[in-house]
Amino acid sequence: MSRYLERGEHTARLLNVNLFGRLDQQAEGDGRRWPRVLRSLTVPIVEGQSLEPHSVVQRLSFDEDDPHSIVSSIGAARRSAREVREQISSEMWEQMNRLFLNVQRMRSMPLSDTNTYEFLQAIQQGSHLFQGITSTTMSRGEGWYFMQLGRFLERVTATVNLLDAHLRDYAGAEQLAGSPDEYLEWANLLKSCTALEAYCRVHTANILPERGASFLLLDPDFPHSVRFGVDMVRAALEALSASAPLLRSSDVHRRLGKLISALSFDLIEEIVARDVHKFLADIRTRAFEIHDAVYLSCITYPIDQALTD
Amino acid sequence: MHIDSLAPKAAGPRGYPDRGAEASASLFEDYARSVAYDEMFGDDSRPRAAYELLYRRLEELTAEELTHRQRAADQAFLDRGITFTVYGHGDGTEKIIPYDVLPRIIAGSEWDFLERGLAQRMAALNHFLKDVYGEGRIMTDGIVPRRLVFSCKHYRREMRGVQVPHDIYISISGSDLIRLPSGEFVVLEDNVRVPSGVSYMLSNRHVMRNVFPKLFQHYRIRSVDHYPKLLLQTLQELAAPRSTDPSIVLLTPGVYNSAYFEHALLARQMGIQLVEGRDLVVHNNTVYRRTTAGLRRVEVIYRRIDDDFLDPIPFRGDSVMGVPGLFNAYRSGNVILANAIGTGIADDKALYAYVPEMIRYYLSEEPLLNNVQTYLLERDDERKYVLEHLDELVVKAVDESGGYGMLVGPHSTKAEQEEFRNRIIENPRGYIAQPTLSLSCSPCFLEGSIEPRHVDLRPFVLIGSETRLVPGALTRVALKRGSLVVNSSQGGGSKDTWVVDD
Repeated sequence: MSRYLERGEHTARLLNVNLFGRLDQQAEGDGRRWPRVLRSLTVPIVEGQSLEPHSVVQRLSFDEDDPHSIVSSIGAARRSAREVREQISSEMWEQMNRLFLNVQRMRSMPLSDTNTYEFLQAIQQGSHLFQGITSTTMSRGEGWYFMQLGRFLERVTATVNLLDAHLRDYAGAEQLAGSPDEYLEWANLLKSCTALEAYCRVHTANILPERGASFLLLDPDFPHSVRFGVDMVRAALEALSASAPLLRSSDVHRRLGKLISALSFDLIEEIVARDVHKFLADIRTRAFEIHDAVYLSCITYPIDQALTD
Repeated sequence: MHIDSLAPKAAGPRGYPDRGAEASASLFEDYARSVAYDEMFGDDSRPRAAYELLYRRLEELTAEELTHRQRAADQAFLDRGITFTVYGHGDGTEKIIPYDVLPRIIAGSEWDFLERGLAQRMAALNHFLKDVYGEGRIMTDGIVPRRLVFSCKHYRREMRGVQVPHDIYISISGSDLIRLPSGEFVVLEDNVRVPSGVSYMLSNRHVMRNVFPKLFQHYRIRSVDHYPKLLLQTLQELAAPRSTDPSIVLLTPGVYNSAYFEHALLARQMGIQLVEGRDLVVHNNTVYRRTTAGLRRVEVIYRRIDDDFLDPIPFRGDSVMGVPGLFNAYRSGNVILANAIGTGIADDKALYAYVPEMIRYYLSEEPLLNNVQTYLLERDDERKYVLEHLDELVVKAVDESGGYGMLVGPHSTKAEQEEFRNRIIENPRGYIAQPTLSLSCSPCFLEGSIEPRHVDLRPFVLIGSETRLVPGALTRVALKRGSLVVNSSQGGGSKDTWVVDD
């Protein structure tokens, strides 16, 4: 549930930033921007499909066949919420339902240039509200930690994908170094993770590519950084392991520990010097492993294994 | 609130003789041209090249759609807290500065020229400040009268001989430009103390993108979003080479200041601390900031407090927002102020008349941007002429701002003219006079139709190791029909300003 919601929120923010953030700076045009947005959402780019901003936004907002779309994500989040409705607070359920109905209502109106912004804002705010309600009304029990796990696995993956797509497009763009364009592109990337203001507080408005990458990957305090997300995943995993013997004996703890040590002690220069894309791919793999391990040990575990325990 | 010090703009011939712009769009039905330069329409009543696309887009829109966008924009300003408190109500009513949803567009080639002109002007003013607080060559050579400088209210004798880093006195300026009926941009006044309004340039753009995204697709609009970065860079360069990563703070008078929103926005976007005077202490001629973890050295202060209130020891003793000892720390070279102290003489309205001469004197160049013709009232013949033509001219106090202490001849009563006559005779140094000018007009969306309103232009110049401008500005609008007063304190509004590639 929280994983899908996080996905919907992320898609909305990404569309918002890219649609409105750089309207007045079309140096590179939309030619590379929208393929990059799609790549960072891991949406396959189909030959012949329009990459015109309006149709991309329409598709990523309301196409039910696209699992990455907002309507799919919010729909899936609500379906999950219904399945655990007795476990979550009624305030949470109501907010989830309101958000879902809101999306349904907005679907019936075609997105125009006046209501797109309002729609994308409403999704992000709806998700924030849900998280706030969850935080004040839900006991810190197993359900809470499952939600934390889902949310942060999704967030880590999203940040990693975003950074990966950005770095690929701007690898070796020395001609951009120090230009307003470089600044604005990095500012845009940080905004996609709500990180621009937080970055500026730490490093000032002087945005350097390595510092930007370092902030998104390694900052221990910012809630959208990979390091922060992985720390939260570990905390959730430890809490869940206490009551799940299969999970406790799983190998994911060891592999997660190695990742945490890299995120905690590696310098960004070292990561870049090795191979930043491989590093990002490894994080992605870890995230999938954890997801699978939790699924296997807590939900679909084989009966015989559970009985012998 | 007033965005800042600004005298109301001179008034021009009123009335709108011809119905301009054979407007096919109904929105333009009430669009009546005057003798003023029209930003959107040329003399043939066709849209100028830069406005062509906007015009066509407006033809597709209805008044309802525009009204909807106007409301969305107003709401966005309210939500973002870009408001000022209405005094005298006690209930904390917050209002926004009126925002017009139609952008003002400037062609790139025209802008590039303005950029060069402003850079030249600021270079000359920095030379001038160094000179008058140093050798005083320009006065010895008889270009600028010594008495005019020393009688200026903003002259700070404490600054004599103070070493200002890199000789940059003015690092942030916001001069006001107007466009004459000929289409020429001229400088109406310079603001080189603590100019404000840049947050409106940034916020107007932000809101505009959200309410009018489609318009942006057809234009190549130059971005202004990197202004905070350039400002930070400028402040850092002031501290070079001694410190490459100086600790910088923004000094605000506090939350009750009408520009507090701007101070907070700039501090946040630059990633520097916003401080009040009481957050800073001076010890051993060194400035420190109080933090929960103890004192932290401060190397550069972007101050948004006037000279008078900076330090109660040399300046106004009753100031509670300043930092005692700051001036000594500054004089010792232990802290850098931007702008420097004493820059107010460079925007004195009487010295303004000498800026073209300063450009020739210091740079051996012809001024690119002209001044508005200005009568200096200490000169007998000019004073005589002005006193005989008070009903036609605009008279301004040299050191006032915000539209105070001025007379707009054509809009004034006999009694007001008499009062100014006496004031001028009593204190000729205190006033200047200018012809009543017709500011250019820009289309504005007002209650269901589009009408022309007078506008000015305030671009922001940053001077560090290089001179930099972001391609954009604050455009202020006199929203009352026929009014020439663009001050926000007197019914003025603002609009987004686009510089587009030709």
